[in-house]
Amino acid sequence: MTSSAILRNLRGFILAIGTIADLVGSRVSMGHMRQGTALPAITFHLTGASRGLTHAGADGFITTEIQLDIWSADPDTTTHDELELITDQLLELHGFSGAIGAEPVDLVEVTNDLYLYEPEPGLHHRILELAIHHQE
Amino acid sequence: MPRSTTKVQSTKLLRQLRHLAQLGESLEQATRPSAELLATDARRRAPEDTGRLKRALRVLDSEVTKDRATWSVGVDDPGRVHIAIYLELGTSHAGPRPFLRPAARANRKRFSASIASELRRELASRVRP
Repeated sequence: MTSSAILRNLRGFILAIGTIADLVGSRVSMGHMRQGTALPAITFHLTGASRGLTHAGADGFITTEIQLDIWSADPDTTTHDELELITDQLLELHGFSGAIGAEPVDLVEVTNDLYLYEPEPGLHHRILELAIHHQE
Repeated sequence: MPRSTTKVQSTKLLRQLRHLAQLGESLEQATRPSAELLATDARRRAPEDTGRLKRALRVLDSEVTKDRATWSVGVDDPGRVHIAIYLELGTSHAGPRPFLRPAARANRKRFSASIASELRRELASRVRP
């Protein structure tokens, strides 16, 4: 299985988490956020993929690195609380093993949790990095 | 006589153990090459525009305690700090173009090897008979 297969299935996987689907509707997309998208919303990007190697050669394992971005507006509005709720749900993916869509994964690690404010147009941006370990 | 011999060896051993205990002081030298390696690779990976961001990427400072060395690698140019952050992490209208995180990930094994090699060298010089 390739990193692209993980990417193809990730949207559906995230939307299968009930709390998240309730909050973002269908606003989960790969790539940057479309202009005029209602908030909160989630975007994601592939930021890296590395193949495991031993002295004997490739070990058949891949680590796919994904950046998940959760977006909300001003912290005084409901969407900021929603951002926290969504983030909490996604943080629970740490330690997950099972399947993303039909693709089996050995382990999901949340390797980073960052926050960034984007002054123009005033967006709160929570960034989670996932390392997804799976076989080729 | 045997007692005297024992005493001499103990003193030597104690001196060597004392040197080993002070090895923490060498952490800064042992880890600096890894920080330099990270900065060099991040410069190579950074998006090229005017070149100002690449030029500004360097080892900024270090914080060293008895058993831990922390290095900061980043942008030493106030006019490029925000650009670097938004390139690395992306914005609502442009995806991330990371250069620091991939450099850190790609060199993880080299960091370990380099630190181990530096510490081995230091250790050898301190406990030389």
